[in-house]
Amino acid sequence: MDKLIEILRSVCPDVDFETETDLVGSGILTSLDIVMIVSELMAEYDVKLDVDDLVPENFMNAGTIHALIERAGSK
Amino acid sequence: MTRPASFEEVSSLIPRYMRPGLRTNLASPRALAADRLLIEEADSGLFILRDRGTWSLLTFLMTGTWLPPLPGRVAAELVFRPGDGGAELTGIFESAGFAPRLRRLRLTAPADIEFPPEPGVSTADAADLDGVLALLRGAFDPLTGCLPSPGALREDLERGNVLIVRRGGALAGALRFSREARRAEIRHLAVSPEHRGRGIASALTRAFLSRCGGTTRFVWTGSGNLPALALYKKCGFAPDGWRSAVEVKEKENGQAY
Repeated sequence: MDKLIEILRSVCPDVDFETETDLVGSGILTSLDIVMIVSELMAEYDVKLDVDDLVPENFMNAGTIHALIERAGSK
Repeated sequence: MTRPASFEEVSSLIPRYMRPGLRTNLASPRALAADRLLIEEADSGLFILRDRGTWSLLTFLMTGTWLPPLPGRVAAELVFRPGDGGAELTGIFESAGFAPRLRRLRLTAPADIEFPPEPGVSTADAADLDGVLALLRGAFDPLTGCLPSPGALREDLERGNVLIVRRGGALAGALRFSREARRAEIRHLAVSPEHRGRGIASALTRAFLSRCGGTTRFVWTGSGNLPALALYKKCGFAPDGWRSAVEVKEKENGQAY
């Protein structure tokens, strides 16, 4: 999870990924952030995600983002 | 540029161009499905033109600094996170023949700002479709105004996401918004010229803040639109650091579509 937080912070340095629980619903994370975060995650974790993964529920917090990577890695 | 056979062809291309260091204005890939598209694949990125009739809207996923030749009149909105001055990306576009058309700022009103209901404001319904569309088309630049299609506006009306003020039976002002669980956004606010200066925009904004109480509320507005900035500030909004620039390349020889 530390590696994930580090990657997320590199894209969105002003966002508190460790404590926020609903980053998208609260408007902290924009849809543009999501596209850029996924671009970094696919390279760092060598996983393939597609446009249907770019939905708000996958990016509510660091936990849901981590779960998305786990699912993508097990495909 | 080539015309994709289907949206699925485009959606399968997009992840290939999502690389570290990406610069993009792609906010909603699914929204591309509603448009006629032309695409260009290049080493520097994926470029998607969305047909708007006499011009095209450019969506890009770039990791390089080269823009391909783009046919016809093209507008592109460049969006910058807080702390990103945007000079590098703007420079890439302006070197390729684009010129600045509009600068926007995002303003935020926190969830704890509450307003009481606004008595003179009502919720528009399906019968107001043509009137609201005409009001928005009269108030916004088609190139930069992000105007909704009639179909999209119809959906907003069905959801109750358009607030209006009438004067003497005529539509005097309208505010179109989107709403999710914890956030809401003013998408358009327009007052007809003959009714300006009478507090209608303020009433619509307060009604929106009341209607969407408990959510973080956003609005993008022109950075030079001083009356709008003053209005939003008075209602509790403040700039949050997000900015955008709409860059336009005028028509050259050849048509996009």
